[in-house]
Amino acid sequence: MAELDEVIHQSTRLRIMAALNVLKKGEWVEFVRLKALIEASDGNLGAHLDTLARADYVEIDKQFVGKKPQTRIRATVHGRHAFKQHVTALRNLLEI
Amino acid sequence: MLNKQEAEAALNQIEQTQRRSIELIGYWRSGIYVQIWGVVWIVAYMGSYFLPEVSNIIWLICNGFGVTATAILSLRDRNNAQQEKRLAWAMVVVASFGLLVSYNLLAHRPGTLPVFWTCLIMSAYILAGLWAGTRWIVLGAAVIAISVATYFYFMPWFDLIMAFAGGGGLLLGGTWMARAK
Repeated sequence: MAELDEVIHQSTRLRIMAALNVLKKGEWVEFVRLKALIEASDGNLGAHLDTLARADYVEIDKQFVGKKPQTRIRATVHGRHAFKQHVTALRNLLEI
Repeated sequence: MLNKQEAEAALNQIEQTQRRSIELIGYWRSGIYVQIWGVVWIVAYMGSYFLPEVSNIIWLICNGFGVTATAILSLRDRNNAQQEKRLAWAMVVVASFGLLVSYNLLAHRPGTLPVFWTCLIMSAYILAGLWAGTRWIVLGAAVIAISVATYFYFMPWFDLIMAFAGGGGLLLGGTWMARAK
């Protein structure tokens, strides 16, 4: 039986995981683009990404493109599985 | 523990985010293709304006470049979502129809073919917009309006206007899509 995930349940983190799950497996998305996808502020997105990274649901990669810093994010296999389980649990709730 | 209403609200939030993500990611992936064709149009129409006697050859070379660049990028993105494959096929079908009409059905009068092709391809953009988002529709409709207005009122400068307004419009439109927020 799928169970609700306390980490993913929070609204911004739910939207982050929903957006990352649209990407192909292993595909990265830049921080600024993820911000556009979920319509969050820099600080808010950064804080919630840290929480997701601590749970090993997302991977964060910081690098320099030329002289410009660039942050990329992708969902881990574990994160994708957790999101899927969370969605199943939500659907199950509707059927009760 | 969530109740039914909260679970439904969460599922709606997921659906909305994913719908928005599919649309924006589609724009980001497609923007580069539109930009390529913008450059092709600028070069080809400028060439046709200054060297009308070799216009056909210029278009052949430019279209060859556009098709090759598009094919290379498509191969790179060959794992594209089903949605994008559907759009590509829609364009192939419309272009095939255009070839058929050009060689068999349409009367060859000066200026008719460029307008016909512009409208045909831009109709495909509009068609694509029905699945992929309104920016495709805005872009297609704007270029059709420019080409038809030029055809009726500014025909002597058709190639030049299409180079700047048509090609430039695609280039700007591609940038608009690539930077969609």
